[in-house]
Amino acid sequence: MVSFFPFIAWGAVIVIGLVVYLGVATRIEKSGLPRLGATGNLFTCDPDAKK
Amino acid sequence: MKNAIYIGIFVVYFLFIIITSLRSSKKVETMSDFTTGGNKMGLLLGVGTSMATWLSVASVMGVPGNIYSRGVCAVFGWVAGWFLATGLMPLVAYKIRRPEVPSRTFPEFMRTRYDPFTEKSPIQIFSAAIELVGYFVFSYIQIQGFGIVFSTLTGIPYPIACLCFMILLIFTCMGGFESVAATDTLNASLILVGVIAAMIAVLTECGGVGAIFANFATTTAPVVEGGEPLVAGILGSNWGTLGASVCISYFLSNCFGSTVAPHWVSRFMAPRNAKTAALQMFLVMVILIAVFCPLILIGMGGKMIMPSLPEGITSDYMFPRLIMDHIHPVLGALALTAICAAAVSTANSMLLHCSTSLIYDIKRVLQGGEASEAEDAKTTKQLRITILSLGVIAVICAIGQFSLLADGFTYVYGAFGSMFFASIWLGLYVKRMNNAAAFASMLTGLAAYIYCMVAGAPFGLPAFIVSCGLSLVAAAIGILVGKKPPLEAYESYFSDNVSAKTLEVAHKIRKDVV
Repeated sequence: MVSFFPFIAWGAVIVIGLVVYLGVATRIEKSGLPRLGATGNLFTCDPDAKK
Repeated sequence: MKNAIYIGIFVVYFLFIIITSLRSSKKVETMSDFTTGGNKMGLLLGVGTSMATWLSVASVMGVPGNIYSRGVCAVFGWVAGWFLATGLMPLVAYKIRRPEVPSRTFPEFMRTRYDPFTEKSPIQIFSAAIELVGYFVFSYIQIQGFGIVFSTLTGIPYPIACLCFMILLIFTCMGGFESVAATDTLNASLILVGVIAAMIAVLTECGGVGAIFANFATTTAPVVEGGEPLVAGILGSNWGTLGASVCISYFLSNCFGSTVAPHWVSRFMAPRNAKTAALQMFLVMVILIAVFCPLILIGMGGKMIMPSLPEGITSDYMFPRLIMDHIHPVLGALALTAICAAAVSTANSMLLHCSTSLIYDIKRVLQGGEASEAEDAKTTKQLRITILSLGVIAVICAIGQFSLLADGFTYVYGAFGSMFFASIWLGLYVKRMNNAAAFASMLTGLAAYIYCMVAGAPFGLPAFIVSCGLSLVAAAIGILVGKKPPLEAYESYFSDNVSAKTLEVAHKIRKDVV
């Protein structure tokens, strides 16, 4: 049987990536600075687009 | 007939790249545009260029080859390692792009952070020299890998294949960062299409995923014909033919070495803001799943279709061999284009970095003098000439000695990681990190990594842990012994609103024309 350990590790790493990004995006949003890309949404980055 | 299809599709690809490059190069107006796209790159272009930079021949050919020869453990050692790096990159990207006046190159960042008041900064020149050597080796590996594959598949002589590759590279690089990013986005799409086409062909030939897994778990066929048979089940085991220590070492090298690779640090300077820099890396990680799943299946399925490789063929060339012998010519041509796109998209960034290191970070700094528009225009012209010259030298070198692709990349990434891990991560997250600590960590990391590669790591520990650990110890001593860095060195990485003096220093380092 093929070990699933490498695949599980890969999946875990992707989850870590999501958590890291959310942490960074939340911090930028808290700053509220358009210069840093704060837009009010965690998954958008162009402050001019909503205008 | 098969060769005609390959060459036909390649010619179409060749024309596409040249047209895209020419269009993009017209947008270059300033030196800042040439080096970082003027720090205004949008999300789409950022995702495209980052994805294509990730996908080199080492991943497109190396991953299936490693799975084929070393087993499913390569998913942990290489794929999970690279994905963890991508997952952690938003932490670096955010900090690098946070300053209002960001650096334009990696060595310039090193000077800003560690040596902001020295005009002819030793740390900027040292980092540039390391970058120049490392990326020149990368460029030549890409040219060599592509040349061998293309000449084998089409029958075109190897030197001519290398020459074609050089023309492509020079076209994409001469337009600077924007041109590299635009062609990279096109290349990223082609890589995705190509590997999916190859996966469909492999799945059809093998009879589905279940059959591939069943074969992989039991095969004893040697990697190369006439070689020693494998232990049944070893390819499907946790650590495969590598063993736990080596596999973990590859994982750490690929992960931490990649997060601090200078070309990635430079990539984070180009987006229009810090969030774009972070989001582009997160999206790249998600999209790359669609590329690596096919690559893993190609590696595993290859073992079923082609149990052993002919003598004289290394596992890096398993995928091209599969295309040549077992895949329908049209699907094969698409897969071949994916390999070509991967090589072009990585080599062009590397060549651009070599050129900026030499001209922007070494010559421009040593030369000194005042900033002026005429001087900037002259530098941009010199950057283009250097790309051309380095491209020619890389092609000449590519006709030289051959080495394993993925391993070669791992060594350079391992060396970069050992050298730059402390100076980048601590520089961005520890205010006390200073010039002495940065130099101490870089020199210790490099010396320890070379020692481990030549003499073997002590106590059987992973080489990367030893060299990176010693580098961190050196950094800690440097922090304790050295002087506290000036406010201008770290303020813009730790605060959203900085003093006028810090901004003035940043402009002075960049030699901005006021």
